[in-house]
Amino acid sequence: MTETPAALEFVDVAKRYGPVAALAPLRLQVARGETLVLIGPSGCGKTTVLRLALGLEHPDAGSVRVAGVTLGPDNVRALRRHMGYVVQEGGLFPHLTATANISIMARHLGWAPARIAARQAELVSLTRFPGDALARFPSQLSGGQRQRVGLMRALMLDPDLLLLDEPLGALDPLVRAELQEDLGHVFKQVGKSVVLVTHDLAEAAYLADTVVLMRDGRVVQKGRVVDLVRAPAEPFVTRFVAAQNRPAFDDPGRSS
Amino acid sequence: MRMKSGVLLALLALPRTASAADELRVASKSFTESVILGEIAALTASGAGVPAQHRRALGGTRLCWDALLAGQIDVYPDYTGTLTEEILRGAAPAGADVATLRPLLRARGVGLIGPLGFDNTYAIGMRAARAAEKNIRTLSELARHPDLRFGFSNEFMNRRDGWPGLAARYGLPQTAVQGLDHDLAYRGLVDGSLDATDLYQTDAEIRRYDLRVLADDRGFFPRYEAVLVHRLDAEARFAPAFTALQHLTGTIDAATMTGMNADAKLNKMPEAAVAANFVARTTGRSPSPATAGPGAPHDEAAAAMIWRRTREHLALVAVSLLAAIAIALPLGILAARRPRLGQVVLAAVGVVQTIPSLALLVFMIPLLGIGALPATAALFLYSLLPIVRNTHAGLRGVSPSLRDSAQALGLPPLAILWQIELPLALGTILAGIKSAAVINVGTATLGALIGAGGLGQPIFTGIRLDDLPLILEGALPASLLALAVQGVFDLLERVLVPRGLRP
Repeated sequence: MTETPAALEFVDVAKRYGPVAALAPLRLQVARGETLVLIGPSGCGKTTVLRLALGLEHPDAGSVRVAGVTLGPDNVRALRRHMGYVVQEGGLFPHLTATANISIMARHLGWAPARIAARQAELVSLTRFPGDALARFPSQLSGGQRQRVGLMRALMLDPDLLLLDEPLGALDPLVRAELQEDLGHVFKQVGKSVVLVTHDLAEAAYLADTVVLMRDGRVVQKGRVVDLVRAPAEPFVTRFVAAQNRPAFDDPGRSS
Repeated sequence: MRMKSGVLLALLALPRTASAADELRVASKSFTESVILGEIAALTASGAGVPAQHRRALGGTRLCWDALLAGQIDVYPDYTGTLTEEILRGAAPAGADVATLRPLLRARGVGLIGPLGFDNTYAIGMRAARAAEKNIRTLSELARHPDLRFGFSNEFMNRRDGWPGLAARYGLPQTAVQGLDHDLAYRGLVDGSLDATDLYQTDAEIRRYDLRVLADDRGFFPRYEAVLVHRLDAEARFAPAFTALQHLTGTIDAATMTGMNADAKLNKMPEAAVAANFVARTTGRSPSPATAGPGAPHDEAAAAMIWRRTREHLALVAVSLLAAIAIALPLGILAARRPRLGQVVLAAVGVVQTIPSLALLVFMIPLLGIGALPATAALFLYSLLPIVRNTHAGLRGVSPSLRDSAQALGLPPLAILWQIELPLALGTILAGIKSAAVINVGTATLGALIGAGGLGQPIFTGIRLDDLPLILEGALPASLLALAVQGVFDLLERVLVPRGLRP
């Protein structure tokens, strides 16, 4: 244990959905300022980690600590304000404009309009979002723009911890490459702790300080991407890496 | 004019009638003869210096009787046969006369005036040509023609002294027997879709449609002497009126009554005028008119009448719909939040919907009396289901990932409901309110059957009097109102549903 508590810590957290164990008892730490990428095949439990961190699910055993505070029913809402959450396609509210989506929580907390406008201007330039599109509804934005709005909404309250669930999943390759670059840029600039879920190894390699490869609710290997390639902890790691390098049309394991 | 307009007055209408101790409240059943007799009673009372109000065509026997016992009305015309067979079923001997009935009714706090002079027993009638073709003169002869199609008034269908007893006594084998409104049955006879119907001996239609009244050769039908029944406690309060009403005994013979029925139904004379003529003839003076109840004052200009009925109608719809929204929205939200409880709530409002509207209206009378209040309450109950169901469906239809996103932001549940879930469900909720409103406009016409007024009044009066223009005076505005309500909600949807959700 360091003196400052970890941004996010899972202490022997177990979670079952009926008969299926989503997380075998799991230990995980995200250091302050670290970008940790959770990677693994579908159903490996990586999304469950994010939902538990946000208190959208409750652990069957163990505890989740955010900045050293154990997450519970009493403090979950307050702690969520120190976390930003971005999901695939942005998870935007379709009945609200981009601006209204971004500022909904700030307005709920009673921020002055000037403060909201100033914060939003910062975010627009940070995420390289076209300012004239702020008045549009989500259905009028492109996929990449929606994702940027989702990112701005997550960053609005300047949270310490950013949680992203396949933020690039639904984008076409060109937009994806561009947004990946911008995400890397944002992560460096804001210096936040980041947990990002993906099943794309290249994306992990580009963004991660640390990669955690998961399978069946447990951690298979934790380290840098290069460690996964050079020093695989078990044969599954090699198979996973090899599958990622194959062209998509030749890849039966990707979407299972 | 009883009901000006607006929401409040619709609610005030009932207390007004329930506490009207200063007026003699006369009612009549919903057929022309009863309305004329009611009108005569009201005119007679006001001729004796007692203000009288007449609730024309209030409803069927049971409804008038219940209203009388509940103290909603003071007096209404009925028949000895009806009292024996329907009201005192089992307590009075078959074929009881006025003298037999009087003590039995007294025990129930009800007095009896009459007999008024004519016997209007049931009979079975066929078009004369059709009867001749089949060579039918008596009820016994009906048994030889099992293929005949009968259409009977709903009351006749179910009464011991109606179709069940008749079929048993004469061994009638017919199976094509349907219950329908008495006035519609005549139409059926004329267009040939029916062969026989029940009649009253004094029906104007016997002459008009050239009907053959089949002889009751086994003496099945009991006597139906016309009488006035009244609350005993009203007698003391309106003594001069009752003295005058007693003088009506024996003054109306069958020919007089048939003539008055013909004046009203065939010559399209307002019942009030028919009654006024009778009172003027018998007393030799022209009476002061009774207060207009929610019946059908025909002398009113048609446009003014339609406008007044429309306002009454709108008041019924508006009050019941607003109340339903106020209750159904929270219920729908609750049902969406608590799925177990939700099933119970949805089942409960669903059950209410299955109660036939007329039955629901009648159930309301012992609880809320007659007039706008019970009608509003019934419409309120009917409006619940579409709103609860659509609110529930709309909220359940909000994608879980959006709810997660809202929660992950740290928004509290109430803010999520107001800012996210309700706006997303708004289109569905509005559609529910719209269908409740449109159904409500249609169902509100039935309110006329329990004295709530509205556009049903001209419709039912028109059916009773076989007066198509009068029916249209109610039916057309009611249809237009339904369309207008639909239009208003379409507009509302366009204004209220957030732009981002529109296609």
